[in-house]
Amino acid sequence: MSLLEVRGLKTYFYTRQGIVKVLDGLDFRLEPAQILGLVGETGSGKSVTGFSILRLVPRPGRIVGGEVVFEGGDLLRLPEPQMAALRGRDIAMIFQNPRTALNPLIPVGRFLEHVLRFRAGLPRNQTRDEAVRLLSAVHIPDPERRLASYPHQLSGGMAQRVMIAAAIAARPKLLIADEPTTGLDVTVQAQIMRLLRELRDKIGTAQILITHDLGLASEVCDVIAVMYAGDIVEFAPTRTLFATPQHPYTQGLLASRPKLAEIGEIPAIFGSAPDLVNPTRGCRFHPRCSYAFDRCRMERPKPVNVSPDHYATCFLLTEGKHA
Amino acid sequence: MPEPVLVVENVVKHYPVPAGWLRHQYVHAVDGVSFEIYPGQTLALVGESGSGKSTLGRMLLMLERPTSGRVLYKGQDLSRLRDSVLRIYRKSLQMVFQDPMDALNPRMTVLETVMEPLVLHGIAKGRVARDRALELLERVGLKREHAARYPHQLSGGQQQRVGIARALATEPEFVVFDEPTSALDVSVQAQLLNLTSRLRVEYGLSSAFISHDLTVVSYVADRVAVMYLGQIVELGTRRQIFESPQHPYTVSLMSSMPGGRPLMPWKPLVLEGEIPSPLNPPSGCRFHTRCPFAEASCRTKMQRLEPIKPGHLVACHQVMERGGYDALEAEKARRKA
Amino acid sequence: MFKRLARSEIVYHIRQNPATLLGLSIVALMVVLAIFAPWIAPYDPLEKHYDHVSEPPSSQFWMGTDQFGQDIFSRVVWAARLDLFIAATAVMISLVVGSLLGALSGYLGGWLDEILMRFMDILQAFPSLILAMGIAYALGPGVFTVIIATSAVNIPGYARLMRSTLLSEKQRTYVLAARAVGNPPWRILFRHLFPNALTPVLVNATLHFGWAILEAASLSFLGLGVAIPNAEWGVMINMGLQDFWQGHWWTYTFPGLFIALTVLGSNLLGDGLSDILDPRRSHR
Repeated sequence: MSLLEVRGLKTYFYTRQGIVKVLDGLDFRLEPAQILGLVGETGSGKSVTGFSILRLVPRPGRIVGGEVVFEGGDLLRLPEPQMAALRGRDIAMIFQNPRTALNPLIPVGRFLEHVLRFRAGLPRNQTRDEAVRLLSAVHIPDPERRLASYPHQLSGGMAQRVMIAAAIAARPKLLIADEPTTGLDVTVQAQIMRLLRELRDKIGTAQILITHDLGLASEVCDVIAVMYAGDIVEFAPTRTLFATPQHPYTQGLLASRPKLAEIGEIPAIFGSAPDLVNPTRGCRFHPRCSYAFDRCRMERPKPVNVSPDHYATCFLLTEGKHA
Repeated sequence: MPEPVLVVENVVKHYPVPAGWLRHQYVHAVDGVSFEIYPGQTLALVGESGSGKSTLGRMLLMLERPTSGRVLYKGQDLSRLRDSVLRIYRKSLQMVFQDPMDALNPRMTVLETVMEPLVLHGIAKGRVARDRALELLERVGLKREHAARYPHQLSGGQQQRVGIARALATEPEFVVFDEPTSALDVSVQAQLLNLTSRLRVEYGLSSAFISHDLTVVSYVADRVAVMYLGQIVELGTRRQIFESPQHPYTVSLMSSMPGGRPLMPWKPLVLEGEIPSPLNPPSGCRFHTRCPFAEASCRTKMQRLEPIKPGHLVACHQVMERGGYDALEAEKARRKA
Repeated sequence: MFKRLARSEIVYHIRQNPATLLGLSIVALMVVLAIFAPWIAPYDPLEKHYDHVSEPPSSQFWMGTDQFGQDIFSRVVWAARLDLFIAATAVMISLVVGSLLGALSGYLGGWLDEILMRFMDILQAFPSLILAMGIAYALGPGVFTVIIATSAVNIPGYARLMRSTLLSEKQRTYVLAARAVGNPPWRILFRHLFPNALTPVLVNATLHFGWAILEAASLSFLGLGVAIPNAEWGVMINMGLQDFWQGHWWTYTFPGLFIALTVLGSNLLGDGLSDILDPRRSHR
């Protein structure tokens, strides 16, 4: 059984300008100890997906439909107290800008001990040692001394590691990481990515990595779901995605990374981000797609399997016009 | 070989930071950087936080004055000039900033923003300035309807195009691009990089391109300077740096480039630890605290950029002594075995 | 600057926030009274009806009369003119002088900043009423005095506000860009920084307006401003309280009510204004 199965998830934002249908029927699946990458640009709905799973969608957003089945139970039907008990315990989340996510008045050690006591249910006399153990598990040097540090005394990379330590304190089955390394230095980014891989290998934590960086996702993720305007346009194991991308958007993203040997123009995707208040009829990507034909303008494409574990949402696959 | 457009000589920038009642500490933002940029060339300044690249970028235009050292534009020492004279040079020296939204005055329309440099430098006034500004907007890929808009009504990519139009209004000779695409989405990034490349050729610009992203750098740069904690650790042509990086830091930087990693010839190197604070840089070679090849001498000996091949400079005596990074790597592997 | 605010934004806000509409209405009402006083007031404010002294409200005198037989309603309406004028002038003076000083201080920094701010400290250290009394003593009572006293006391507030807003705006990239493009310092201050730093100052001004009314009325009440028996809300309260023990509540209640209403109105308006002008921007 899959660890997490999202079916027909609909999350709408009720704004002044109208109803923004950020997610309008999202489907995907995550297996235990698997790292899934949700890759998309601004407005693709990737962060909202993460929040929807934990039912933390900020106002004016609301989950209006679908199912989020975690270990067999639909999270959306759960009464709030039970959902609250789940957060931080079975499913944990870490965010961008770790320093702002930590309470500046609480030293790191006390924060971790709180988490251990109230989320992991550890008795008070054991929390300190476990906190030290957690800090060394995330490779923070000199963990004993670090317990007394305040968040502003930590560098970005270290703060993020503290967040990860807190997130795994209760041994969650699923960790959602929302742009955890955006804004951090590249060398630190590499370290954090390595840590996430370790979590999967050593503790078996399944993860959803939300990022706009396809390259980053390729470093860590087992499977990648490429999102555009609230839909998953392509879903495949990482290697397959890079080797044989099927959706024009995926192809565009891959091609638009500058490469060393290239001289001349980088093939760029023309146009700009979609308007989610008045979405275009038909495929949401067609205004920017160089392969668009009539059907694309009329209907919304459905996922088509290229192979058992690889699908893309594009009419090119069914019309057989694809190279 | 034509004369260089810009010559940077031993530029140093230390910021005093109050530490305690009357004492001061110094942030060693930039510590002795020298290089030259030739006409039509783009030099990339690559580094992470604390490398000093942004501070250096501002000093190239004298938006900040160096603590010591000189910046020569076409032979003229900019650091000696009074502010009022410097302003005249701003016609030829321009900058495109990192955060496109923050770089635009929220209460000025796009048109006003692009017109301002024309008017300031007496290039055009009134109607003429307006027409020129509209032309510029078209050149950077915006439409007439954008001219009357305010920054918050534009997307990030469009805002940055305005920033570029503003920088090019006075037809400058040298432009500093400070991480122009870092704050933008990947698909927009490609569009903007194509645009800047095209414009650089059209305007015959020399430029300094600051970035932390090596893949972007690989596309735009003619030459690359890798910076760490305020100093240049490696300097070479694009080919040299990407096909045979010599400094361990450069190698680790390339190893950390996720995905689309250029073909790196050596084994990937992932560093431990964090970047030390520029308040208290390590002694000797500043990189020694994280360098897997560090030895006792690295702690005491100051590093200088030395040529390992014509035009390819490296600041690491270990690499120099062995004649190349590959030799250093091989020796380490041998010693382990 | 205000072209930016699409009609719909203000209307939308007001729909969400009836308090702002209330504030706007009250202030508008007072302004109307002030402007059209000669037409609205049934009697001359200083006309003494000796046969109708200290009468309670009636159909002839809607708010009753005071101890000199003057119609309270007419006086209240005419007082609106005086009080609003005093308050508006005082606010404008403090705004202009305070903002300029604050802007120079914040932009130029250094010893000028230190000296100016210390001077502001001194000014703020005095309880405003004592300071006003001091000025009134030196200049003699009157409208002019009230204006000077009220504005002087509020200058430090604007100066500090402008200074701190300026200091944070100074760090923004567009200011650096303005330098890079070749703007001389004075142009950066006036063309770029000032307009952007003005918003909190303007909001403060609307709130200040209410306070100014109170201060002006207080000073006149104490006999330092407009003299008896002129039509000014504070003066009217003073006069009214002289008869307090005789239970002539209408003589001081109505002017007091008007003061309170005006202050309330300007506060509500000020709050609404701060919502409209600032967070809207980052809201996008």
